[in-house]
Amino acid sequence: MKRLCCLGLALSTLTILPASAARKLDFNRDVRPILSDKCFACHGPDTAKNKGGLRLDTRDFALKGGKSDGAAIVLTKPEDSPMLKRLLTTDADEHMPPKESAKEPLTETQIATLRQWIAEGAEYQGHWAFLPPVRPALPTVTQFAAQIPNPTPIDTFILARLAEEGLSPAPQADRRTLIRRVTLDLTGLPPTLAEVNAFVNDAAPNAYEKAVDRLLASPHYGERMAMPWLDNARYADSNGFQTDTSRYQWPWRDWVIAAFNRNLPFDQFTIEQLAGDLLPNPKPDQIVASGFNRNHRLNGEGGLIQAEWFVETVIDRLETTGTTWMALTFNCCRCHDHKYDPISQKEFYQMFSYFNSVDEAGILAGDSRNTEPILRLDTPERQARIAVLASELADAEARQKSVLARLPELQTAWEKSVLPPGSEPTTWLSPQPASMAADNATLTQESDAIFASGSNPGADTYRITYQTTAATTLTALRLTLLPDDRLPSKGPGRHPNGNPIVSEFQLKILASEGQPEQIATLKTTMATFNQHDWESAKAIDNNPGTGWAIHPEVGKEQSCVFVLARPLDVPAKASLAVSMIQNYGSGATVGKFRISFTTSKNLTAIPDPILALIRKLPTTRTPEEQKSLTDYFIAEAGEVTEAKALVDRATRAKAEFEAAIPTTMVMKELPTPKDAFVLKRGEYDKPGDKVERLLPAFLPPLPIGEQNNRLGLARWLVSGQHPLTARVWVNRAWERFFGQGLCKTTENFGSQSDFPSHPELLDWLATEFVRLGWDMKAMQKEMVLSATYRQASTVTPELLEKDADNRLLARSPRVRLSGEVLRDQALAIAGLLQPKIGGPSVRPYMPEGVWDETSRYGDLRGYKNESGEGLYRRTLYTIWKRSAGPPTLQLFDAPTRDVCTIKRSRTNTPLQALALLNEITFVEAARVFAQRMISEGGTAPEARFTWAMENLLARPPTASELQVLTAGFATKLAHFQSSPEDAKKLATFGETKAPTDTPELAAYTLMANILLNLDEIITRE
Amino acid sequence: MNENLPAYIVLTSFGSGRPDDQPLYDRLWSAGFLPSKHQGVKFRNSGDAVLYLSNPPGVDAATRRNTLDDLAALNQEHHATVGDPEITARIAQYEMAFKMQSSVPDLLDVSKEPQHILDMYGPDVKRPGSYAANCLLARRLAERDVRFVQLFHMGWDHHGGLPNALKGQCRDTDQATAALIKDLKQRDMLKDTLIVWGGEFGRTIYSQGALTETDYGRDHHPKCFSILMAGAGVKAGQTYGETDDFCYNITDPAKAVHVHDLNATLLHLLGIDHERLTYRSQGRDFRLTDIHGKVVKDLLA
Repeated sequence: MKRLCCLGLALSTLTILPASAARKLDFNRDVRPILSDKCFACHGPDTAKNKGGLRLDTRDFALKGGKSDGAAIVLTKPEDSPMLKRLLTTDADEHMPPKESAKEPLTETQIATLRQWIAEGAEYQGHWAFLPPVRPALPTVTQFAAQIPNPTPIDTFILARLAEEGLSPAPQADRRTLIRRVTLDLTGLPPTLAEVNAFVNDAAPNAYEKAVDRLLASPHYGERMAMPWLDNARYADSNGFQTDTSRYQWPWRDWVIAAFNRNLPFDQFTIEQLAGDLLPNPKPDQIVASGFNRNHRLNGEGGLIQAEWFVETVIDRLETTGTTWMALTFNCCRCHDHKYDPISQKEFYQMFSYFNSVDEAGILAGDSRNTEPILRLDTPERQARIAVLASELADAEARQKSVLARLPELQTAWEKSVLPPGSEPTTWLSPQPASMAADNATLTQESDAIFASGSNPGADTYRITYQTTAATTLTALRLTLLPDDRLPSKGPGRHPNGNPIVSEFQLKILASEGQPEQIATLKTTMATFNQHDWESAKAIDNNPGTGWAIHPEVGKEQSCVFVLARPLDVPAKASLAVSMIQNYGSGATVGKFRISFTTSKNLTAIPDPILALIRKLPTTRTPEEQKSLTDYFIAEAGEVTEAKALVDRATRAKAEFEAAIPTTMVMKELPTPKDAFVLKRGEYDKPGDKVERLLPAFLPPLPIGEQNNRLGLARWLVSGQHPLTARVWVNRAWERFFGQGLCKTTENFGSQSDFPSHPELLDWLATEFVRLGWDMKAMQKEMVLSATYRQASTVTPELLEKDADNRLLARSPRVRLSGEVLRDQALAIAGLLQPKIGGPSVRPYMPEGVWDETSRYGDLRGYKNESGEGLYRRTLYTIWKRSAGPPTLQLFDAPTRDVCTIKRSRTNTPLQALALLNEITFVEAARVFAQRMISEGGTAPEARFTWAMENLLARPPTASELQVLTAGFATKLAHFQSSPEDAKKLATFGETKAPTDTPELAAYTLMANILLNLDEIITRE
Repeated sequence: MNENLPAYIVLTSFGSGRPDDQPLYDRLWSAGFLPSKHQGVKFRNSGDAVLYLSNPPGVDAATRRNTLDDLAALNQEHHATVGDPEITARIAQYEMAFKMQSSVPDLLDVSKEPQHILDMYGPDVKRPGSYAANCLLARRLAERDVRFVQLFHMGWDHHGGLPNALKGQCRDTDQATAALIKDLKQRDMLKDTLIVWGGEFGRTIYSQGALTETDYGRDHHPKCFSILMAGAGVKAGQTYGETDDFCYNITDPAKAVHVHDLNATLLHLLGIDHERLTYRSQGRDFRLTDIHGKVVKDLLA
């Protein structure tokens, strides 16, 4: 296999295993891959597409032959077999594979293999992964007894193959390397120095086993195991389509972590996640687990067709389940029979019918919170609190009732108080502006109002100036927002919902030319309507992040009076400037408005039409007028309003508390199953034959006594009879510890899969897993205790030559750590990591604009990182918006979590280098680690770097490393001593306060930055 | 191909027609089933154009160079011990990262673009993150041998409010698109740069929602729609294909271009035989045109 080392590309081509001439021909290893790849697409299980009536996927079919040539294979006579003739012919019309198939012709070696196979009698075997695993006897190997005196069962298989290939295992890794390796593999965190020393100094013969047991018992073990499971389960914190709003599915994530930690056996782990809701008397916890198959995306786009998305949702479930548990590519059969594997389209929809009878719409709930079916995570404490809130609400309602009983007398008193008999109406003047300007909009004078049109990209500021002609004393200004048919939702705002947001309202006065401009102090505000949390006082609070808004009372006139702190004397020929700062963005700006001034002292926010009604004698009011006045009074004034506000507040408090109780999306089966049909071409609106629940024929039947539903299906997977489930799990566990699966295609065990490097070992592991009662920790312990796992990772030229891919495992693999583990490691090393387990997702540092540059929709916008703990939690808790995922993780090959992903690629790119060098988390971690080097690592640079290497890599530095580090430090120190300002800047990067900002700290920070970028740190050795 | 810049760069802009409209998704430029190093790199309009391109505050380029030399020395030593060629590859990636730290700012610095070029792209060109600015950037990327540049301009989903919205979108894109083609041509680059301008579906000719003088919309229409192609061996100056008077159906089936045909043609223009380029995923050799597609010869110069 070629490897472009200069670029570090791991080219994905078929691996040619070192072939030994002595090895006997094996159909599944040697012949099936050729037939499957070259022939099955036209001569395989997809009966609709069979060419020439010929199938080659079973011996019977091959011997029966097709229409033109008769039997394709003449047993023991390769040269007489049409199959071989068709490969060898020079006649382009006859030659196979045909040109239009775009398949490369068979190689000489492949043809020779087929020739030998036919000569030996063309024996077929069922596809290895579909046959039940047979527990093999352990091989006897004596060759490496000196080096590995006590081989584990795993070792015997690996060593036997090495002996066969003339290779030797690598020496065992030293204890320091080993403890870092196994700690990273089992917990995703590096060992602490104390843990390293304890292990290195433990003379007990079972020191390593004790360390492994400690790690398997660590609560961080569950977090580490959850990481790849979240990829499989397409877990995310958003719904994934269009507006990509948030969801709250973290209780399911907590369940997964806890399940791994309590070592829930894999059969139960499977049953609860696929069908916990269908268990007899399920515990809430088991229902939460069933959220596995609610982690799919949900669409809520306007104009969607519900029936279509319902089908997509069900198919996502089926494919995810098939890939996660069986490593099958069910997705191929949505539209047609499988080309390689014996799964028909009909069988696909039979499987579909296990997943379609959930009590759901298949689309996003309208309010974009969690979508039914959901489970509210009630606790006794929460129930008690709800009872308290309910009684507070009842009290408020009783009080309101008694106040309303006195309504007529209260209203009369109020009318007198706002308008004493004989008082003059407040006079408001709306003079012509001297100038109008806006950052973006075009402002036009329309009678005494101003209309905004033209550009409206987001935020805007309007500046209106007035020239006084005579001296006056102002007491207040009024901003009236006016509706207009030209505006969206009739305005008064320019946003589609008609709501404008005035962030800041300011008045400046320029008494005369040459004098400084003064800002007039506005003291109080009185608005006709305030949106909850957007009260008018927020328009004068000097906080551009808040403001006055009026939703949902849009489409009508609203006003706000801004009262000056004290009457403002304005000379003649002065200039008054009103600024309306509208910072919210999204075009929530004012569309039409009027600005008025008054000198009156009798100020009220009561709108003019209401004032006019108050002026009328009660007896002359029409019933409608009386009603609107009473309505206004109830809504806006005095004791009645307060009573109403209390009720509103209590209602809101209860609703908010209830809404804040975490819920999680779960499965809930309908009492009567829904019908299911074959969908022609996989299209929702082209149903064909009706189908019943039935498992694919090539797999074992439903165990006797099981219900034919989702629960039965889950139990079928883990019955111990299923050929795939255990193999798939042990193979992925193997991949985690040995860099790749025994079968490299961990995502596909079908006919096109990679033939396992050690098929007997894979079968031994699969049967052992079942024998141990699906005990995940026990299986993982078996793997990490093997001598194979404990080998050194040194790569020799001989091994590179003979087994560059390391499929024979004559050494331990070197594996670049995942994005999650890289960040967790940096935080842990610095001592910044917050080890809390579980809970809602958190918002650590993220560069500005990641969410907002591609979307102005939904509630996941305006990302702000948390302060404190949320910055330093483990990476699997980072909030995951599917349409704009965590950016650093994406650089390190994380999937988008749109659909089930089994395997991440493992790339090596310059963008990864930039992240590790410059991303604030890594730089802050380097700086905090540097602080520790200074305070804990002794005084001399040599001592500090020795301390640093031991803490980072569990080993002391070599003499030459120490030389590079101390010399490098001296250079950086000199640099920062000559530029102390730079040292100060570096010390401020990150929220953690640096105790000092000296050149020394800066120099150590950069050295720590180097250390955190070492290949050895980025890699699990 | 430029080794100091990503091979696939994405530039995004909000439309002024409907500024809130049409969110984008990472998956639009994800690597799909290819290894993730092939994912598009979205240039950002705020902060660093390329994530984490800038050194931390207080660290200048010379200091960074110096730290990378230390890092390389330490990594070399480790390589000598464990012998894994992946370490050599890692050292090379850090060098490339360092080069990107200067090549990207150089790319983005349009201060030396002459006035008449800026004028050609229109006044928006001075606003970073605008479509016009991205067109200019696209030219500069093409000049630097970046293989694939994709511009996303949002705001086309005009179910309502079309009269104003469409005007805004056209104002955003019309002049700058023409300028990009012209600019490439005058630099003799159009001959080997393929420009494709289009969307993934069309819209009805008839109104959606109430039809008033100032407000109406158009719904999605998948049966036929137009795209524009220029450069790289595309036959210039022709309109290809016909629909009925209501833009509802294709009237000349001989000139119908299916998306697979379009992709086959694009691949042909890039020098790739769409029937032979395959990539194996989940055991299947995928083509980019599935099992369909024919090169539309009439579109070739």
